[in-house]
Parts: sequence; structure tokens; C-alpha cells
Amino acid sequence: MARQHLTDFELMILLAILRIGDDAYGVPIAREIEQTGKRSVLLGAIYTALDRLEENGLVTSTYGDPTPERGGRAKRFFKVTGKGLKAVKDTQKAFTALWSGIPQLKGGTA
Amino acid sequence: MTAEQVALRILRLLSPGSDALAGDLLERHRSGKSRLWLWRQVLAAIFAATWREWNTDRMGASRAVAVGWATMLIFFFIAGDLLAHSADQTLPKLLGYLGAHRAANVWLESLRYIPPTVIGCVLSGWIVGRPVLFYAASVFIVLFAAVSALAWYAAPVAVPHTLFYVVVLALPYWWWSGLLIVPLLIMIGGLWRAASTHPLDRQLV
Repeated sequence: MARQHLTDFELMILLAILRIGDDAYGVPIAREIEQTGKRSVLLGAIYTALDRLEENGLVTSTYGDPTPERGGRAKRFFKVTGKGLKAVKDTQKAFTALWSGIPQLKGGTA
Repeated sequence: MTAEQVALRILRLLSPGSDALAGDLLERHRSGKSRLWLWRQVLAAIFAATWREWNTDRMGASRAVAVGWATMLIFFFIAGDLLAHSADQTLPKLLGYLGAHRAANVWLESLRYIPPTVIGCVLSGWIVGRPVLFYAASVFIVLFAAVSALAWYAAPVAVPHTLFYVVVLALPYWWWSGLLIVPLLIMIGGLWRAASTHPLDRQLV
């Protein structure tokens, strides 16, 4: 049975795809996570997670045309499905609920 | 062939269906990422794909490991001694012809163990690298098993044949070199088979 919850990495990937929009393939997804998430990522790990998300119906992928600058290899574009969007919203709700009422997190200081 | 081409071809061989990933890696490499970065990404991608394949069909991967070990076992017992014996017959003549020094004699004597080991290990990888869905994982798992067996050299682990150990000692330099050479030979056999099963495109990177 497919997992119902998202890992933090899967959540970051889904959010990155949503931020990028129509041009979401491996390179911009990695850049988005690196720049906004302030962490370095392995492209192979992103694809492994994306394959898993696709198997679970949270994203879909389509191939573009091969381009010479990529050695004749096509880009694989990703889109978040309705189910994926719901998973992101559910995760956001769960995090928001967990966040609220923690005195140490109030006032901007730890 | 450049280092980048080698890296991407290895990725293609060991992680089938990763063309989009290879394209992404090349794109980032060409936009300023270092060669070291590329190799690190390629190796990580291969291990990620291997782990995934292993988890997808553990039975299939285990079967591939068993096939790899059985190949070595059968080969070493059937042909290993025969090859070593043949070398016994030819090496002294060669040494006599060369008039080698006694020390060189001992060194060359040890070479007789190398052909059967090389052939056995390459054959093992070749057989495991058959056109099965899990060939990439299999080759790596056999590689890992070979490394582990040698790493526990002093422990009573089950290995196919004494040749498997002897070649490590017989090599004319640091004995741990066998830790690289044996799995490397298995890898070469596996890649060779994989390459012939899934021909590489002729496109330059």
C-alpha cells in the first residue's frame, strides 16, 4: 500500500515543482531546493523521490524534445496532480497544527 | 572519450532509463559544476538506483548474487586448477628462456593464479549481467559480496576457492589491492554484458 504521508524531501520537491510551474524538470527543481532550502541536493535522489511520487500518483511526468546542449537527451517535465496538491495541503495543515501553541517558537527567538 | 562521457555512459549502463537525469547532469556540468561534482552525482545516482532495484525485487537480486557466486565456484573448481596447472607447465619454460633472477622467478610463479581468477571473476559478472531487470543491482551486490568476503579474509567465510584468496596474496604489491581488483573484474564482466545487451547510442556527450 502506498504511503499516505510525505517525507520532508518529498514535500520540498512538490513545493519546488509548484513554485517553478510549467518548466519543472530536474535542473530547476534542484536549483529551487538549493536556493530556497539552503541545502545541496543530489539529482539522483531527486529522481528517486520523483519516481516514488509518480508511482503514488502525486506527480505526473512528460518528456520534452531532445536538445543538443543536453547531449541529445530529453528533459523530463513534472507536474503536481490534484492528489499531490492535496497531500501538500494536508502536510501544511499538520505542520501548522504542530507549530501552534509552542511557546519557544513565539517572538522570533528560539 | 572524455571523463564526462565515461561517467554518463557508466550511469546509463548501471541505471537504465536515466537519460533525463544524465541530461540534467550534463546541463549543470556545462553551466559550471566541476568534474568532481559530476562524478559524485553519477555515483550517488547509481547507488540510489541500485538500492531501489534491490528493494523492488529482493528475491531477484539475491538470485543474481547466488548465480554470481555459483559461477565463480563452478569455474574455479572445473577450470581453475586446470588453468593453473597449464601455467605450471609453461611458466618454468618461460623463466628458463628469460633466465630470470630467483626473486623474479618467485614473482612470476605467482602469476599462474591470476588467469583463472581473472577469467572466473569476469565470467561471474558477465553471467550476472544478463538481460535481467536487476542487472545493475546484481552486479553491485556481487561486487559488494566480493569485497566483504575479502575484507573478512582472516575469518572463516564461505568463498568459492582458495584461488580467490591466493590471487590477493600473489599480486606483486599490497595485498589489499585484491579488494579493488576482484570486484573490478566482476564489474567489468557485468558492464561488458550489460553493454552488449543494451547497446550504447553513438551520440557524443
